[in-house]
Amino acid sequence: MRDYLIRRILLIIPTLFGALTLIFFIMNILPGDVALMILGEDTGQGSAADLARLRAQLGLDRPLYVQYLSWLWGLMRLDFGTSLWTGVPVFTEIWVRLPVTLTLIVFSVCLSMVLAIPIGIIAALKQDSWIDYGLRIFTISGLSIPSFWFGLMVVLFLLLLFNWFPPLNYAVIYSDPWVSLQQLAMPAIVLGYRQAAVSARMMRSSMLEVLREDFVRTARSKGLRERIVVYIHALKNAALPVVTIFGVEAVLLFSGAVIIEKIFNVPGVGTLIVDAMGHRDIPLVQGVVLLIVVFVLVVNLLVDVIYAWLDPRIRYS
Amino acid sequence: MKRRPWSVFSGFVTAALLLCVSGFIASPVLAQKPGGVLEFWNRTDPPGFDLHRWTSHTPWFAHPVFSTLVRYDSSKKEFLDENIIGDLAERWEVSPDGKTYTFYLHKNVKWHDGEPFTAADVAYSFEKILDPARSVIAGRFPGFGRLEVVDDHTVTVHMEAPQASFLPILAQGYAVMQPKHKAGSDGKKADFLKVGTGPFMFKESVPGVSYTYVKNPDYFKPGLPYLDGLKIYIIRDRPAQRAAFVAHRVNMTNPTAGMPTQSIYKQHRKRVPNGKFSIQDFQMVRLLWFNLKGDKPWNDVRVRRAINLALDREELVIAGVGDLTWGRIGGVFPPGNPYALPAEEMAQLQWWNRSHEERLAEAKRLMKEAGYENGFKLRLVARTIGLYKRILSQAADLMRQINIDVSLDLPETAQAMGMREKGDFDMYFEVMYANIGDPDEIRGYHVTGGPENWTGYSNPKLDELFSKQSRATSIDERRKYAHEIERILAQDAPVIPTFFIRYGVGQHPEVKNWTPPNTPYSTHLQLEQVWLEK
Repeated sequence: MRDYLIRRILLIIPTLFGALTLIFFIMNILPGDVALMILGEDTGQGSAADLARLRAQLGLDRPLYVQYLSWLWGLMRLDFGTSLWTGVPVFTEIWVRLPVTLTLIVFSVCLSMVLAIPIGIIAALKQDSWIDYGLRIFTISGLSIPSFWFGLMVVLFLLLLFNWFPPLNYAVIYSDPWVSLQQLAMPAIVLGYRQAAVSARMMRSSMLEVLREDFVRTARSKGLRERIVVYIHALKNAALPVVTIFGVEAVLLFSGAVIIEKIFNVPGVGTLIVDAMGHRDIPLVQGVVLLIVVFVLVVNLLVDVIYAWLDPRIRYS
Repeated sequence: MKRRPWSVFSGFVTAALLLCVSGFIASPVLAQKPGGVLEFWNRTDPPGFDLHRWTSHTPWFAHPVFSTLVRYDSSKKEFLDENIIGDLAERWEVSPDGKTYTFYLHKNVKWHDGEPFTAADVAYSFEKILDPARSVIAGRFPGFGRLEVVDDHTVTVHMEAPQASFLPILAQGYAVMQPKHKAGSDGKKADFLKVGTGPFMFKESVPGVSYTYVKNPDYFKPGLPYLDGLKIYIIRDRPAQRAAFVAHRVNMTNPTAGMPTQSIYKQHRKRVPNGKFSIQDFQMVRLLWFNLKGDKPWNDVRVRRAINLALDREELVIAGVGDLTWGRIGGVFPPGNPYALPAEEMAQLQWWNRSHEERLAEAKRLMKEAGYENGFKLRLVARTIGLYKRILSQAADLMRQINIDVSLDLPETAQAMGMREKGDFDMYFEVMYANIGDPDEIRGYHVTGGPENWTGYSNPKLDELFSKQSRATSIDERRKYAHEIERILAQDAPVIPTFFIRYGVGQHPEVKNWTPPNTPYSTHLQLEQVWLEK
């Protein structure tokens, strides 16, 4: 297991390198000029001479391979460059936003787990009852309703009924927990609902399958209480595919967070990358992509580790 | 006899009471209440903080911190010469020939870091403003000659030629005074805001979230500003902007460009019935720009006139903003502007006094005369903004009525601007940027070789008129030349004005003494005179 972990961690490096090289060249192939953007987004102002000067200042007049190598060299020294739009170091831009997005993701995942697991278990135990039908309607709605629409409805509902909108101040969970909670509760519910729907359905079908297994019948026939049978014996086995789903969904939360952050005006990494793309702010886009790739790889690794812990039969050689 | 001491005493008391009461009545009761932090939103971070280099979004963030020599009276919406008042300049004198301006500076002004503001800072600022490498407004002072530092608090500007727009352009707001002792500071960083002379001092920022300012305790205007500070929140999403205002998370919308369409304006009004709302008539018009640099059908002036006739402006307004009252139709100068052609003459020139059918018939006749009865293809490029899409879809439909097959190419801003720079368009749609409606502001768009002359249009007569109006010393003379400019542009039609922008602004009742100006960017944004009713 230890060798497996070391191997997986080392594999992160070439995967990162490949992803970042791809992004660098894609961003540079895309039409658009950040220098023009900076000179006059609304007004369209900017003479040829002004543009040439600004491009030189931003280093955009260098050959592409020079820009690429320069950027790679910076990465090795943990210098992620400077945002072409704001002039702020990329690391600082991301560092300010990251706690907000991570908190949002953690809230969403926790909420979805709190919802999905009991819903899946109850739906499986009460199969084909009105409780099961009700919970299935709940989960199908979560799958069908687009997150962005749900988010807009939540904003409207709170505004129309309570004249309430989340606070606008920047707050992170460890410095201002109450404001952070107010800002992130609704977005977390919107994101968590969808994830809970997916996971609950997987939980239900997985539980139904496991509950029909011979070992469960044996456990019941031994006279074990139903609670022990379900939560000790069946759940551990039924949870395996759900763990995988959680891992996939946690990664997808990043992309879902982009739209939800815009709707709820959450200053997270999602809005950062959308703005950076619009401004052709290549260093910033690359920095955020680096973060996302690392996040995906780490989450996948965690999922594998949890999987092995849940199922002792699984051993990675 | 025994009563005398008492009567004297009571007399004194009565007199004292009368004095107190009369003093109370005579002294004015101040309405303005000091204190409070004004909060509003902007839809994006600025690209930089140096007003000499970045002219969009930057003003909202930089004007509270920096001052100009002269400014427009912030209690007035209009940008008229008579509304120009002193700011850092206590007073000024202009020679009769209009070639010498002497500015007498306030003596008690300090930069936010405690250094004194002197004439040397003015000299440095002008040197920077007029350097194209460090300023995008360098071209707005065609008559400038040299600046002389007379003493620590007096400067004289010697013009090579009179420029009637010199004071208006100075007063408009981009020509702020910057500290000589901070020369070379990086204008892209928020730290650039730390040293100004304005009513507010920059405190801190969280990019993408908020910018915080505090009152300048040493501001050179006693009693100002009234507010303890400002906070600007970054809110990109329109529904979130509305929600923040309705839920009273902010005291007002963006102070000048809050609501771009009437439906958004009405939504705000409905949800905050006790708010104060106003509509600003900006000096900026959105134009269709022909690319005249190749051999194309629209190089023929008859084709351009035909397209101009086919484009029903009222239909474009309704398509764009939903209501005729939200768009003003005119030439290159806004209706009501001192330099705009009288409405009747413009209507006659543009055939707006005729029916749509008559205009269409004339357009078809011109197309036939030019040999394009069967039309041609045309690629219309613009930034992919919702408002632009609506306007241009309608414009394309209207042009199809004279057999012009329009394909709309609406890429993202960065790409659209790149295409414009390369001349990769047949027709381009964009705003012509003017804050105060002065002819010198739009000169660069129309003169031969002008920095913003995207069409490639060249008309020596027009060039001469722009020069003449710039050097004219009376407004009547300037107006005469400006009218001629409008006539030429209307007849030659290298550009086709659609309509002038309007924006709505909303304030909650506690915001007092804010008069949104008729431009998004001006020295009004110093906000020194605004106060909050608690």
